[in-house]
Amino acid sequence: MTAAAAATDYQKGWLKGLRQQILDGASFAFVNADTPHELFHFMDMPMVTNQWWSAVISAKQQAPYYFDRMEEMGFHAHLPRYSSLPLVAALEGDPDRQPWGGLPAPALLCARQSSDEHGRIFQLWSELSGAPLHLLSAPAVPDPDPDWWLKARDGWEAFYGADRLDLLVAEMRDLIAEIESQTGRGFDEDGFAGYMARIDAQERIFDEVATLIAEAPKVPMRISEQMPNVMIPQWHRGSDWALDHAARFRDEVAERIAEGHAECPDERIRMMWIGAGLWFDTSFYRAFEDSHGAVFAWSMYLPFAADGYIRTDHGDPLRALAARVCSMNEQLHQPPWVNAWMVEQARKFRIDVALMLIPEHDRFSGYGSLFAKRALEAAGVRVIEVWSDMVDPRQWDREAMVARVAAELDDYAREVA
Amino acid sequence: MTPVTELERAFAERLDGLDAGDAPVVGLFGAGLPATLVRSAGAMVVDVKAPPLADATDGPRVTAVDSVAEPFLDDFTARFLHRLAAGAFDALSLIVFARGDVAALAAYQYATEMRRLGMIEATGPRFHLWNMVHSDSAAAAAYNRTELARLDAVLDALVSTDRDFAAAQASEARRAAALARVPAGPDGFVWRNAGRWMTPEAHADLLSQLPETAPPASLRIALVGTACDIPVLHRICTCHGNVVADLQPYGHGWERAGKDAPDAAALLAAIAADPLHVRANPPARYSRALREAVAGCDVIVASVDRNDDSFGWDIPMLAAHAAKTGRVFVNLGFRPFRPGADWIAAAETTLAEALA
Repeated sequence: MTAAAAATDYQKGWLKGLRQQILDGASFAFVNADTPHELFHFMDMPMVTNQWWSAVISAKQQAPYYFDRMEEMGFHAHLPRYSSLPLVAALEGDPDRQPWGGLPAPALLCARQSSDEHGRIFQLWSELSGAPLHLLSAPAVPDPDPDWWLKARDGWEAFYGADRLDLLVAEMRDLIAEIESQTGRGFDEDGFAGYMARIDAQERIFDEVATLIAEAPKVPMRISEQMPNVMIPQWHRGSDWALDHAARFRDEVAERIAEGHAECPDERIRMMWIGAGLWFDTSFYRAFEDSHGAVFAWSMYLPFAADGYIRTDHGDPLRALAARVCSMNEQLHQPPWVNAWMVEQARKFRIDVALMLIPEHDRFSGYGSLFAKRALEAAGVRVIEVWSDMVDPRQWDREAMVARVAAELDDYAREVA
Repeated sequence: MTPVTELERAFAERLDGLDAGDAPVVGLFGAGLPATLVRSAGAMVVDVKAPPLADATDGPRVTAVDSVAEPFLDDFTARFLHRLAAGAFDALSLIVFARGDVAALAAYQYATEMRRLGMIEATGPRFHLWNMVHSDSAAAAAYNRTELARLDAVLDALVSTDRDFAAAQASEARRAAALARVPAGPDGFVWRNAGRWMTPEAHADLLSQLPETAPPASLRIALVGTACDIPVLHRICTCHGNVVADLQPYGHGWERAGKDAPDAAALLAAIAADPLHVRANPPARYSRALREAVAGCDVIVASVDRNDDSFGWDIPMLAAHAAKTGRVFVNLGFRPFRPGADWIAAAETTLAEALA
């Protein structure tokens, strides 16, 4: 069994266990991806991530039904989908239709105001479930230096600003009090420092893996395998399983490289997939290997585990956590951060062609795309725009997209020949 | 020029028709900004989010902007960027963008990045992100005070170190009193919003010369949805009743939060506590405030722009609330930035059928 299959099995088993825990009386939190998951993990409050659950629903090909229902419920057709699919499934009300029998009602909700819709979506969750909502503020960084991945690991106090960090730490303290109240467990500051150190160790392993893949002669592991190997341990970051899994993942990648393994032996074009996963059609990532020797070497999840998460604690792990969270999503989408990072990553991974997912109705993710495109092109990377949602396949025409990308790759191959 | 024509000219020409004299001009992009604080430093404050009406037909189109503006970029943002690149704001000292307005945040980020990349000249106004959070928690209040200090420092550097907050508030109070005379309807929308490109004193002077008008007794209508800077919805509603609650961003504005604040700190606290902001935290405040604000209305008319990612989550709730309380809810759907005759005709039909 590969590490990726083991991760997927672990997650399925975890959800099954979570359901049993809840049936036995445990409460769980439903949270957005860019919130401080560490607090829930450390205080042993089970937690489900909105965007992970959204991807699962989409992968089970349930999104078209739910988005049709969403419009029937009176929500308009241009509302963001990635963050709302689980809500729509919950409003629809039939758990049997949902993957793995659906989610029970959460006891606590947490989101960040990185995008305007999060407050509105989670308010509806709160009304539906009766669960209290902790909505974390998300003021922007007014004068962001482009090279965030260099400055944020250690010099985060100056980089993100003391006022923003003070605010988020205070709001996280309120959240901790809520978790303490719900779980009956106190927050152990000293123990939390040790837990954060374990996460740091996990992310440094992912940093190693990213460098291994970047420097390997040929891509040793497809991004469809990279994603579960990174994302699932990230949802459980700092746990024994997550650390062990990260090490297994690293070892498997290193072993493959040592054996000269190549996912696409005829590799001629190295590609990056920019944006969230194409969750309803992950086999698309392999569509150009046989025809063009074009293989995806990069998706954001692996390198972001290092650059987005490693934060020196400077003796204050809660503040270091605030530094991890306070611009988490923004770094992946907003100029100048996104364009500068994409170029740095493209160079590191020796990328020839980038496929850029541009979701029109998820403007937080869509805005800034053309700055990144421009920067990549200036760096010599050909960029192919993929106008699609990440979880809603209703306007996805795979055949047409494959034909368009193939034509671009043909053109690229002629150009470099 | 009569007061009415003067107000209509100011509304139509907006920044392009501005005569600020010698005063430094500060542009504001988005709602939730402490305009009185900026005025208290002696600056003339103008809206830069809403372009002149003529921009729809002869506004500049700059290739550099097109190269980075996604087709779904907010229309206010896109038009601002084209005008910025064409030099429309060169005479301004400063533009303050409200982080709480998604169009403003994008405008700030795109404009700043275009400057950094050398895609547009860096000779125009300085940009400042007004980064306040819309919560009245103690942590938020402390954070917002640092934002106030940041803005104060920028005003010190670019406008003046003097502040006369009391005088600025007195001018606003005079304007607020004059605004009470403004009738509902499309003309009222124009006369009220014309003040976004005038001093409070000049605006109040013109408003005070308007004849008293009593609205006819008819249906009371509320407008809800995303920002609309033209009176198209008011016109659509005219033959059915009076728009007594325009809850869209250009439906209210400077005259709402903090009008009685004795100082800048109190003004800040009032803006932060304003529940009628889509980023109000806790977010239940916003839903509740919406329901309360439409309580005195017979009809609720909703419309959103094509990029809406937030208001639309409240539409089913508002529709259900209207049904439960015996009100008519009319959803006009997506409203184009500058609606054409077809859209207007369809909206008129939808409204008429709902009220039949």
